[in-house]
Amino acid sequence: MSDIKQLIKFISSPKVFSYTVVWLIVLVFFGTIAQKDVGLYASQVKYFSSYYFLFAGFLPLPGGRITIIIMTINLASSLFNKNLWKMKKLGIIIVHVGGLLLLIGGGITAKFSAEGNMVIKEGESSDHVDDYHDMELAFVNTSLEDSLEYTIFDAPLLGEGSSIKYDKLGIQIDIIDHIKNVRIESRISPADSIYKGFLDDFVIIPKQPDKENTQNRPGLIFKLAGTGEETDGIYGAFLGQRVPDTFEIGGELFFAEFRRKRTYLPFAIELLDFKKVMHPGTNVAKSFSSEVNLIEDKIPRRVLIQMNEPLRHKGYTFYQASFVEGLDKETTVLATVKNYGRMFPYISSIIMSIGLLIHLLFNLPKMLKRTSKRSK
Amino acid sequence: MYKIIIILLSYTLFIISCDSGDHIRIYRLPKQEQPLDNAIKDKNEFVLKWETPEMWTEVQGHSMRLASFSVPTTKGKGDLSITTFSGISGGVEANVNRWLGQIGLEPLSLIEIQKLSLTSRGKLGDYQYFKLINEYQKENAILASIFQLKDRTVFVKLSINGGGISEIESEFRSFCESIYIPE
Repeated sequence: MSDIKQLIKFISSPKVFSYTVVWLIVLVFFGTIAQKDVGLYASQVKYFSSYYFLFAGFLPLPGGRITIIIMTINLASSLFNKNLWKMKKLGIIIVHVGGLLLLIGGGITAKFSAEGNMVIKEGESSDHVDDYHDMELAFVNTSLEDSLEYTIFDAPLLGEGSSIKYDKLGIQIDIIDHIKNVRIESRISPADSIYKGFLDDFVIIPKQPDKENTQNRPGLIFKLAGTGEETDGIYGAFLGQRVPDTFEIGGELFFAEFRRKRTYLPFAIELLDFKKVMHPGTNVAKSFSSEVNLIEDKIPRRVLIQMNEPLRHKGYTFYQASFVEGLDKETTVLATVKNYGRMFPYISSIIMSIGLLIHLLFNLPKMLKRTSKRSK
Repeated sequence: MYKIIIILLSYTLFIISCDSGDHIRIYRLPKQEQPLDNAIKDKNEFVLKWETPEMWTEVQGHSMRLASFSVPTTKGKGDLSITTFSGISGGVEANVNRWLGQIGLEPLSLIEIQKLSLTSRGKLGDYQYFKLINEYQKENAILASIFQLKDRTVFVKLSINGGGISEIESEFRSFCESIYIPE
């Protein structure tokens, strides 16, 4: 039992907090340097969203996530220190609670928030957000009379070597290759009969991934079994594939789509007009804005989204991020964020400020006494 | 106090390890313009018709094709495809060289390719006809026609055993000439 007490004493020690803070500074330093070479997303994944990472390729070091967890436990443990619970330390208690809230908010954001973009052409509407990074494989049943049935296989199932046995459709999907960035080329020799769909005429070739993950075109090569002798085989799919491959499963016609993870919203946004103002004599946009209809329960509400003036609705925030110039119509790109922990930084900052103020007020008489003593 | 900390630790471990494992989702959406519809629309926007020779059987090809036929000869069955792409779709040189590669031949220059081609006229318009045979691997041969229209290109390609070409060549040419755009 004494060992456990020792461990707990160590975990709740203020030293641990200091070490983790210093380690976070080191991580921020290395993460910032790494952005130059590997890009923002890869650096974030390696240094901040990981439990550990390999330094110089072999030395495991704690990543941002485990550091924050240790920090949270340490801060929470310190709140159970009996010496802290005194009236004169009220300010410090409040600062600790505020700090803890900030860390918990960070955890909620890391675990549950999602970000992506919504692309809408003038005169059209959209009710979904495409994730920036996560991909999904969709098998779409087109044989239903008035609807399309989507069976979605999420990113964690699509790793190289994964096998998905899906009894509802009686199929098995073996992931042969999941490539970060691909290019498509015509075959120069006839394909083996195992290759189906567009792989019959084309090949998927890995390409050096771009630093910016959103610039990459991911591709997937998978083996499909259980659809029948004619259609069982190796298929390919890639982001932005204009003509998807089709196959029959149980007499029903399906097509496969490899796309960015899609989240449907409980409302739609219709782009009425996109306006942009350019810097005179340049092709550089000075400002741009989207006049949209927010359509909920078939009732439209007109809103203007512009730079630094996002639309916030039902936990989603839509920022004016970019646009695509068209021949006749323009297309707006809205960066979309759903952050359940959005309010935590605000609330915890207020709490910590109050705590520091109380601590200052409690110590003010002592400080004044000290100052007057010195002056005498 | 240690009990509370153990609870806190366990809770944290539970939170970080939680994963529903439910990575397969199913939902339905009303039929709208979906990728498949786009593909069909793209084909339907440009409709072609033709006269199919008696012995040819239409088969299901992959989604990039307008139509596919199984073409029987005494040397085996050939695979005929009709595809269309907007614009020049890589051009004659790139496409013919790709076909040459498919039958194990080295690529040619554009001038050599033009010498190899035969220009004919069908209902759809002028087209370039190619007979590509690998003399050393006679099992690999291709008959192809390229129709360069105003804003798109139509490819008719028959992959066949070289030994069966003489049986099918005139039928292939008649087929190409019969292709037209219905009013």
